Amino acid sequence: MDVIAAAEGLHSTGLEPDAGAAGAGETVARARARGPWRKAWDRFKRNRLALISLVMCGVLVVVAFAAPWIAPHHYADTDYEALLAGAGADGHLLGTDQLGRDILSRTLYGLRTALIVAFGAELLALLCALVVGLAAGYRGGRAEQGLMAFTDVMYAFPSYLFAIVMVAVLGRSIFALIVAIGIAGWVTQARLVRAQVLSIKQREYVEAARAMGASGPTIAVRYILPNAIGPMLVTTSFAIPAAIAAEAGLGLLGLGVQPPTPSWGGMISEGTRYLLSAPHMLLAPACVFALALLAFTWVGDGVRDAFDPRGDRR
Amino acid sequence: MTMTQAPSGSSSGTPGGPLLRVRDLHTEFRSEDGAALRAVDGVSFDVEPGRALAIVGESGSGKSVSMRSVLRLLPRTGRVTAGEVWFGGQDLLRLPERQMRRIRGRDIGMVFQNAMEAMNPTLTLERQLTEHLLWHGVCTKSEARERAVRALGDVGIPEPERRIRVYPFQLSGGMRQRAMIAMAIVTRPALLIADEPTTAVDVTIQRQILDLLAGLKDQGTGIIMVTHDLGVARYFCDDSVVMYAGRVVERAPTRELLSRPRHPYAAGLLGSSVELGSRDRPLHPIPGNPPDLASRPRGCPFHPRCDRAVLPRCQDEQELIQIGGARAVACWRAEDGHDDQ
Repeated sequence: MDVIAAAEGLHSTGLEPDAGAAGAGETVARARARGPWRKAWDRFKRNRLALISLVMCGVLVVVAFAAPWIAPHHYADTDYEALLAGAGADGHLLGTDQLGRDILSRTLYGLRTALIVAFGAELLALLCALVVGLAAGYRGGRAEQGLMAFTDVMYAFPSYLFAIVMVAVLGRSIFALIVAIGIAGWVTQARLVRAQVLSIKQREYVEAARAMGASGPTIAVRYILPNAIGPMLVTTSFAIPAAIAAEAGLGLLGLGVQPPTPSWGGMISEGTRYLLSAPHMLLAPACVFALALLAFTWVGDGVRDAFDPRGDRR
Repeated sequence: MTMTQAPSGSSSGTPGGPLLRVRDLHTEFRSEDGAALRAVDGVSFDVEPGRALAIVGESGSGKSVSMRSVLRLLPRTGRVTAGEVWFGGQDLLRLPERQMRRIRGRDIGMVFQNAMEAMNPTLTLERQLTEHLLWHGVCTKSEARERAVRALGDVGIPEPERRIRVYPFQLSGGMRQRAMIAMAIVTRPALLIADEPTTAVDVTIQRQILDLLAGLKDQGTGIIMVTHDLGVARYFCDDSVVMYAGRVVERAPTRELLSRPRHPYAAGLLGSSVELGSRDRPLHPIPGNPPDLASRPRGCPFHPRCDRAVLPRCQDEQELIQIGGARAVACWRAEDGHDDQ
């Protein structure tokens, strides 16, 4: 419940213009409720590259979800009359692959796979990181030692190897990829959450909250979490392009989603085999992949600058 | 319930008795190498409803630690090893944590030194002022808002209806300090603990804050004012307790303490106070530094800095000696009528 309330708080401070501001007299006009979220958003808006990238990401997300309606063909439909057709062949804007499947459609569906895996994995990682990091940082003592020892063990494990093992165990489904990439990625974030919690815990307002009678969970969720979320948002926004790349990487190694479900990694891997005879097979997924990575990374840059207090100077 | 009745002796065990009775409080901190440091060493004092007690001392004298011991807000390394804290007919040190939590913020309010640091930057004033009302189930959500607005008005914040929507960092320093006092008093606590509430604010605002607290006192709230500033104590505290190295060295009505301090340390504090010194009296700073808790001197902790110390007599343990009705001094030389000036 508290989490929901906090989330509502984020919304009301971050997105809506403050209702009270409209009626405020000039004496309090300056004291308009511009919460920390609103300020971060204002700074983000001033960064044009980040804003364009954000729009780009929005477009990518919409396209990914609308893929079944936008794509001219189903990703698995084969057209035996147009094998390895070049771009612009009849009915196939970006050509076809060695089985006569429409590259454009497969790229769009690949986008869908990539984003579902990336966001799902990141959500999972964030959730694990928040629970473990908050618990470790706030409880301290033996619980912290245990959790952090576990985190260190996970950290020492090569994350790609871990993901490969996970996929091998869980099978090549989207769910398996989410779990594999999510679990491989939460460790660094958990350590960051813990570090944040440890520093925020020392702040006087946490002590003040205790002096007002707040319980442990209330302090963790209402006082520590909201103040730790800025840095978390920054790492998360950088972790999403990383997860997109990880998904493509696993696909390239042949550990992506089960064919014929398209993934960019798989498409790029196939494309390299026909590099000389049909370069368009490689180009389309590689370009969209690069575009998506750039857009999400630039958004991450913008988010980082927005939450960096030094950004105020600009 | 608590808010409608006047905060008075009704919440203490014996009607008409002290609101808060601290007896022989001992608090220790564990240092890195495991040694125990006695930060509070046998402190006792009473707070009466409608009266203000000043706890005066240099930094490190244990005054803040005493307050945190009373509220049981010590950091993990700290521990109350002995003593009693009677409030509302209960020994707070023996209450389960759940019940203690219901007392914090509801029956005992706390004002911190630095409002900028002591308010959550991600919450509006409305949330900070109403949340603990709701935690404690003092009133409903809509009532809580009304009470918050009223509390802001009470502490002299203009246009409280509008200000309640802002975040702490949008207020000026003085406003913020007042908002924090509003936070502490919105539940109408019977006891208010103010930890150097005027140290971090401008002198012009200091006076306003003190007047505000004096108003609360007149309404029956008991106040503990932790301060190193004797001027603040003189301004509105009825009684004073002077602490040194974790001990009470003198306890007296403030007026008597300031006009005729009996403990050499209290006299030294007064002598080194710029504001209270008269023009023709030169400043007399106390030589030396407060003792390190790890290597506390034997006997009276002040004797190495004391210009009237007599060895080896001062190396014996010194209890508080009752002199007169309301005064007590931890110095054997005060007993045999030795005067300071």
